[in-house]
Amino acid sequence: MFEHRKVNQLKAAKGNLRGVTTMVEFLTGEFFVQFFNGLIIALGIYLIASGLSLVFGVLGILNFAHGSLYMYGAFFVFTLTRHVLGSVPGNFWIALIIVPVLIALLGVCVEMGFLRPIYQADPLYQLLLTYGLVLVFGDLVKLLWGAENLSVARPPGLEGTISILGHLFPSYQVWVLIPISLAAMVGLYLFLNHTHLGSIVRAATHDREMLGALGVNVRLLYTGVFAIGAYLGGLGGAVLAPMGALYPGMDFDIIIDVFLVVVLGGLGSMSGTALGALIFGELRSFGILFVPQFETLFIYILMAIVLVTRPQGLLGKQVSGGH
Amino acid sequence: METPQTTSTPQRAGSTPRSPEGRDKVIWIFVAVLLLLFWGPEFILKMAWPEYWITFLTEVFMWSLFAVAFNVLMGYTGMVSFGQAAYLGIGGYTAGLLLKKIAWMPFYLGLVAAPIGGALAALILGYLCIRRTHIYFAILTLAFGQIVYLTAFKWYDFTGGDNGLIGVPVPEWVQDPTFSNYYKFVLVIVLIGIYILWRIVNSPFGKTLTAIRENPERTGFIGVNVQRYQLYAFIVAGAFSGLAGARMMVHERSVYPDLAHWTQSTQVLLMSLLGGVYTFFGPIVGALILLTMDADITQDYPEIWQLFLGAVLILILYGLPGGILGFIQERDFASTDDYATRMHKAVSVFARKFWFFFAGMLVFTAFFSILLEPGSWLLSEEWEFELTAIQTWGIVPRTILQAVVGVLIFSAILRGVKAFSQACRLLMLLFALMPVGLHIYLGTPLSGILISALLTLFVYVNLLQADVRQAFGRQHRAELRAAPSAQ
Repeated sequence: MFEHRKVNQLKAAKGNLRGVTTMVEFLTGEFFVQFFNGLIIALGIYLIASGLSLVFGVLGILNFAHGSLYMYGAFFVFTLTRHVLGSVPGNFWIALIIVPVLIALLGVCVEMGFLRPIYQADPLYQLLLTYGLVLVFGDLVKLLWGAENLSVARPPGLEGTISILGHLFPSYQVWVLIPISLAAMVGLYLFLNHTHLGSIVRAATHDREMLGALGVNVRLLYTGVFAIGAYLGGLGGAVLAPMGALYPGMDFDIIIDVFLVVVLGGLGSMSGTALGALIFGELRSFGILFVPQFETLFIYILMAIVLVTRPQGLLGKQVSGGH
Repeated sequence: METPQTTSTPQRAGSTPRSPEGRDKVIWIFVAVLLLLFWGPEFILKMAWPEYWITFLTEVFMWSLFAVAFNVLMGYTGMVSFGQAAYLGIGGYTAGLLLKKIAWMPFYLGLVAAPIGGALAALILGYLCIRRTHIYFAILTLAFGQIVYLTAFKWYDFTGGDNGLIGVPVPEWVQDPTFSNYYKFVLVIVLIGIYILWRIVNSPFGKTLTAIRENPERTGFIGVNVQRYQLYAFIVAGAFSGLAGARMMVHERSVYPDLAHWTQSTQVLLMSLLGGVYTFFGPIVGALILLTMDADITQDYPEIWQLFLGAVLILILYGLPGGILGFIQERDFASTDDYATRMHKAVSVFARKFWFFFAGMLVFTAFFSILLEPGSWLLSEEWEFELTAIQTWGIVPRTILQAVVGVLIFSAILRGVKAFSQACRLLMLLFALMPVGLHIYLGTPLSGILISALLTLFVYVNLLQADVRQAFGRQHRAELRAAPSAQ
C-alpha cells in the first residue's frame, strides 16, 4: 500500500547518498524521511497485527482470515462513502466509526458459526479452517465488488502534504493514521492493564482452563476477544483504505506481512507486536534504500531466524515447543 | 513382499488380513489398471475424446506424486507444512538450471538432480524446522517457503526472476503434438516415485513415523530419536516433491517462481485433506478430485473457484476429518466383536454411509448442472415430457425425480443387503456402475463422472472385501440371520 509513494523518495534518497553528505545532514535528511516513512508503515501494520495477536493470545487460533476482515473493512468504507452515504458531508468519518463495528459483528458471526464448534480440535485444524474462510471471503469480494481495483478518496482537507523538518509527508497519514494507531495502542494498553475485563483477558492468555474453573464465562470471553480483534482488523482496513488501491487479494498480501510482525514480536504479546511492527516498518523503509531488490526477502530471513532461535518472539513469553 | 493394495489402509486398526489368493487378485487388478493407464493416450485418441485429457491426466499424475510426498509429512508424521511448494520449486529450478546453464548436461542426469536438490534443501531447512512443532512449525515452513519463492522471484541474473527460466532444453521425443510420450514419461516416473514412497511408509521406518504422529513423547520414551525421524520424513517429502517439480519443468520447458509460491503449498494441503490424510492413496484421490473440479469450474466460473474450494475445505474439516477415502474405508469394529456382530456392523454402516453418498451425489450433480446451464432451474429450453429425454428436463425436477426413484429402489435393496441377501448385494454392485455409465453416455463434465466413480468405488470397496463377500455366502448367511442384529 505504501510502495507507490516511496518510489520517488527512494530515487531522491539514492542520488543524495552518492554525494558527500555529513552525518547531521543525513540524520535530519534522508534518514529522517526513511525513518518517518517506516514509522507510518509500522503504525499501519500495527493496527491490523494487534488484533491478530490478541486473538492468538486468548483463543490460541492463528487466524488466517484476519486479512479478510481487514479487506472487508476497506471495501465497506468504499461502499459507505461511495454509495450509501454519497454526498453527506463528513461521510468518510462516519464510515470510519461505523465500519469497524460492522466488522466486529462479522467477527462475532465467524466466531460463533465456525470457530466455536472446533475449539476442541487440533490447533492446526483451526488454522486450516480459517484458511478455508479466507478462500470463501476472497471470492465473495470478487462477486460483490468485482475484480477491478477500487479507490477511496481521502477526506476533504487531507489530500495534500505537510512539511515536517523541511520534508513533505502526506497529511492523511500524519493527521489520521498516526493518531488513530497510537490511540489504539494506548487504548489496548489501558484496557489490558488497567481494567477488570482486561485482567481477565490477560489471565486467559496464561491459563484458559483455570479461568473457566474460576467461573468466568470463557465462551463469551472468546467471542468478545474475537470481536475486539475483528474490530482492530476492520479499523485497520478502514484507516488504510484511502492510502492505496482496494483489490481482491489484498487479504493475501497483508496476512503474510501481519504474520511476520506478530511472529517477530512474539505471538500473543501486545508490546511485542508493537516492536515487531516498528522493526517491520523500518526494515521495509530502509531496506528499499539499501537493498531495493531483496527488502522483502530480508524480512522473511529475519522471521526465520527469530523462529529458529527464539520462537516466543522478541518479547513473548517462553513457549514449550509449541502451542 | 509387500504388495500395493489400492484399497487397504496401512495403519487403520480393524482392516482384515487378506488371503494369499486375494492378494494375487489385487495384483492382477493393479497391473490391469496400470496397463490401462499406460495406453491411456491411445485410448483417448481412439475414442475421439478431447485431446486435452492427456495433458490433464499428466497434470493429475504430477500433483499425485507431490501430494503423496507431502502426505508422508502431514498424514504419516503429523507435521503440517505450509511451505512444501519450496521443494517443488527447488526441484524444478535444480533440473532447469543444470540443463540450461551446463550445455553437456545429459537430460536424465538433470532429472536425477532434482530430487537430490530437493533432499539437500530439505536437509538444511528441515534441520531448522523440526525444532518447532505445530503452529510454529507451520509458520516456519511458510517463512522458508517464501524465502525460496522470493529468491527465485528477485534473483534475475541467476533464475530469470519473475520472467521465469525459459527455454530449458528438453529432448524432442517428449514434445510430440498430443503429449502422449510426455504422458508416458511422467506416468513411469510418478509410478516409480509413488512405489518407492509406498515401500518407505510400509517399512519399519514408516511405522515409526506413524508412532511419532500418534504420540511423540511416548515414541521418544521407547528410544526413538523423534527429531531425527522427523528430519528423515522431511527429507523424503522434500526429495519426492523435488522430483514432482522437475516433471512440471519438463512439461513447460521453463520454470516459474510461482511453482514455489505458498498458495501451491496450500493447494497440496487441500488435496491431501480432501482425499484423506490417513490413507496412502487418499492424496491421489484428492488431487484427482480437486483438479477435475478446478477444470470444470474455472473454465466457466473462475470467480467462484476459491469460494467452492473454501466451502469444501470447511465441510471436510467439520464432517470428514479422514477425507473421502477415509470415509469410504472406515469401519467401526471393536476388537472384542465376534464375527456376527462385525458383519452386521459392516452392512449397516455401509447402508448408512450409502445415503450420505447418495445425497452428496445428487447435490453435486445438481450443482454442476446449474453451473453448466444456469437458466434451466425448472425447465430447459427444449423440454420434452419423456423419460428417455431426461437430460432435457430442468434441474430441480430432475433432481427430485432422481431422489424419489433412488430412495425407493435403494431402500429396498439395502434392506436386502442388511439381511445378507446375495441377490441384493449383486444388484447393488450392478446399480453402482449405472451412474458412471449414464454420465459417460451423456457426456457430462469430468466432475460428474468422477463423483459417480467415487460412489462406485465406495460400493465396491465395501461389498467386495473378502470377509463381507463370504458373509453373503451360503454357509454364513443362515448363521448371520439367526444372530441378533448389532444395531
